[in-house]
Amino acid sequence: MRILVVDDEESILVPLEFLLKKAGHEVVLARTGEEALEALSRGAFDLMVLDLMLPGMDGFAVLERAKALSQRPKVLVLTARGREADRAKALALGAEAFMAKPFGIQDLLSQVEELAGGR
Amino acid sequence: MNPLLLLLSLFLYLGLLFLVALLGEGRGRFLVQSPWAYTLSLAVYATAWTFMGSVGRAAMEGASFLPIYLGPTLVLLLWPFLHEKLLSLARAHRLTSWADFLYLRFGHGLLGPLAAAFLVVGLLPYLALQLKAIAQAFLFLRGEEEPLTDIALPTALLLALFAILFGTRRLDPSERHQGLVLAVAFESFVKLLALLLVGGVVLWQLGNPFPRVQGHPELLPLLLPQEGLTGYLEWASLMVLSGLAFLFLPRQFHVSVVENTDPRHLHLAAWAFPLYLLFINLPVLPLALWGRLLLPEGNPDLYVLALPLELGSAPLALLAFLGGVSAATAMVVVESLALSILISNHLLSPLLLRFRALGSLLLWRRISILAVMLLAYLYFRLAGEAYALVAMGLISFVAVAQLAPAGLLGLFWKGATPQGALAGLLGGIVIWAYTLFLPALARSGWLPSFFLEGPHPLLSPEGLLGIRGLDPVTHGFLASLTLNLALTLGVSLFTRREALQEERTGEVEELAALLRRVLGPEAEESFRHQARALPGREAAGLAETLLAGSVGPATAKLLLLSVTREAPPEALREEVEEAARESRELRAYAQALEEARKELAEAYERLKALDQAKDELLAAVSHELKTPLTAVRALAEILEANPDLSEEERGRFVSLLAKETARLSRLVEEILAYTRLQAGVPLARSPTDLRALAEEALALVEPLARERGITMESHLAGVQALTDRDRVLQVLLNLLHNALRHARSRVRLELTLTNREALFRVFDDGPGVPPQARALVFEPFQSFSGGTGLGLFLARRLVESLGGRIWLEEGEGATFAFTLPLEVEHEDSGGGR
Repeated sequence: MRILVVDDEESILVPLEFLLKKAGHEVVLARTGEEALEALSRGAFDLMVLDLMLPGMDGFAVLERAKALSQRPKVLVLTARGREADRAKALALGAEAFMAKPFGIQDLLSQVEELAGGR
Repeated sequence: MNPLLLLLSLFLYLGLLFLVALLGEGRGRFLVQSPWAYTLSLAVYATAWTFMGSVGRAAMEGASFLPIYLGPTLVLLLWPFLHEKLLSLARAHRLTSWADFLYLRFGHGLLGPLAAAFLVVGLLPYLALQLKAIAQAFLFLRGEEEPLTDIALPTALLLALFAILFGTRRLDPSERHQGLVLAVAFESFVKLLALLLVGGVVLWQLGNPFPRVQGHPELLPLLLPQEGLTGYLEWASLMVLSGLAFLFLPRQFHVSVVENTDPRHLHLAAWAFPLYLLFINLPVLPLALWGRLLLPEGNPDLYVLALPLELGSAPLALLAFLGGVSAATAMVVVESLALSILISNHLLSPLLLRFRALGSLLLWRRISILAVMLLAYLYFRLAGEAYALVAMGLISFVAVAQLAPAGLLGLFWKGATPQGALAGLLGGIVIWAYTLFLPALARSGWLPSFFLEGPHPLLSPEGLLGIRGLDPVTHGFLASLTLNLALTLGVSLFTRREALQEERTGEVEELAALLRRVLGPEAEESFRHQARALPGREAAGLAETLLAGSVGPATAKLLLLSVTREAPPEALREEVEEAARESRELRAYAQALEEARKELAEAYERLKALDQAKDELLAAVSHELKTPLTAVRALAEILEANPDLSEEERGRFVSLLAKETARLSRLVEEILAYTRLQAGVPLARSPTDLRALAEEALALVEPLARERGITMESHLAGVQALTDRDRVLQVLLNLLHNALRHARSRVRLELTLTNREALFRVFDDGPGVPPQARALVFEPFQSFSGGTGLGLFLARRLVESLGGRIWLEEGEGATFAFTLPLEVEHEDSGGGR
């Protein structure tokens, strides 16, 4: 599975890249919303792991733009805010799943597998 | 005499008059405030008629010129009853004429215009007389007799100009015209001086004329009282007539009432004015006798000029001429002004209102002056040659006296009704026209002479009811005034006094707007000032008074209709006022409630904002904690679950772990510092050396700077401030940490003193803040490079709690600046607003 991980924190990207690669996925990293959209436009992804709190263009904006793509990846939203309103908004914008920080790696991996299996 | 010299001195004199008037408008203002100026201005009563005509009349009829001065003298004895009442009425209602009073007292729409129109017509002979006097004197001194060429016309035009310049500067004629009054007072002085000098010189040169009468029996009757009933009747009626004229002449009302600056001036005028009349009459009889003795063929009206010439004294004759001119001009100016006000306020302004041209009222008043003057000139050309000066004046006197029944009864008798006043006035006017005005025209040849016969012996114009032997003026006066008085009294007795006109009430705002439209902003201002505390009814009354003074009472009433409504009748008024008071109290109560509600709402909003701030902070803190916690947990679990990691990967993860842990602890420290500062700890302001504080902050971040290889620079001015040292230090640390995190090689701290504030600037040579993030840089959750994201947010809160401002400057790298007041500006115990 091709997975795009979008987060501005190095300390999040590094462990996520490691874990997802280890689980056998192809991983591409993006640090801003703009990078994420560029990656999406260059090639199709099966899954996007998206942090909502990004500098400049935020996660919601990325979600909205991604909706217009012909081959839209499934989206797993990560956020530190954990507000119910954020979850509802993200789901309304077409995200498939939502995880609040901090999360355990097992939870994350099983969520990813679930999304991969549901294809 | 040389006509050029005469003309020159005439125009020089008129020029002097302009100068005196200018003085009165300017530096000589205090002169006008004096009771002497008031008294002298009353002497506008003495006209060319007095100056030249009295001698003429004395020369022909003896002492019968005297009642004309006894009348005013007697009237002035009544001043405590009459003038004081008039003055206070005029002041309260801004009366400008008797016509205003009649309208005010009787409220009949016809009375004002009728009185105004009648006075204009009735006074034309009187004005013509003055022009005639000037023209006659001029011609005589030039040495010609006939015809009366036109020195009168330019004089009339110049006088019109004078009246326009000094009488119609403002719309409100109830204002005082200082220049005009001073000029009139000056002229009164000149004419008295001239006549006394002429009389004195003649007596000194020729001696006492009285003993010589013995040798001239034809002169004896001049010195004896008139015999018989007709003689007494004439004497008495002339006295009454002149007394009434003194009261009712428009120019006398103008100088004695409108131009009165202080009612106490009457105290002086009451004796000084009769004294003036006495003095000005002293030379009359001697001059008349010498005239008859020396110049039996001459025109008696010109003895005042002829006698000095006879003595060979041209300068004295010139002085006498100027005295006559001043007597004539003062009268003409004031009378034409007073008449123009009558015309504009009672005849023109209702018309102008109808044609929506009320704004041009002042222009029309000026035109009226010119028109009155030209009409007088016309009358002089048409009828002037047939009459002696005094006879012309007396016709006008009788006309003016027609206002007396309505005016005096209106003042002193409550039973006088509008119908009575109108009937009396109309009757008087008809008789006056029939017995005096039309016969004057007939004598001048403008009406067929059989008019003087009348259609029936009992209806002869100069002998009604077959009465013979009275002179025409006495006859006309007695007839017209008797009928006038009888009608006024009789009709008043037989008509019911109508209820007082309904009063009206209005809002001060609307009234003020109306005044502004009609009279301009100054009037509006003064009205607002006076009407502030008045109830609507009185405010409406005040507005009407102000308007009436300027545009006439009838027009004022019409204007007011649009912005007022009927006031409730007297009986209801108390209840209405009670209700109004209650509703005022209710309004005040409601207002107090509303204010209390507002205060509560504000307090609630403040609390809500505080609460929100707390929530916001909490959310910010938990968010900032969650990201590093996620990383730490993930990394720890990876390390735990993957013991077989390569050394390189393990090292990478461990260093990340260490970094995130450090971040966590720094975050905790920041939060602790912040909460410590604001957890109920009030601001601890103390005199603080900001430079020392800045140095301390630099020392604290020095290890971090060294570790990152960043050079610290500083430029610190010595600044003392009364502030909370710990909070300032925290702000500095937050900003310096932020700068060190982003800097490439250099961080600079500056402290300067600007404009009663301390200014700190923290500069780093990093990439700067991206444009889209600039607006958000002080908001929570906005971290761009692994910082806590709370540093700037907390710094902003702290700075604001200290009464300062913080901002991000434009330019290379990033420069954060904040100010601190040097002294306490506002109390704020918490930093967490």
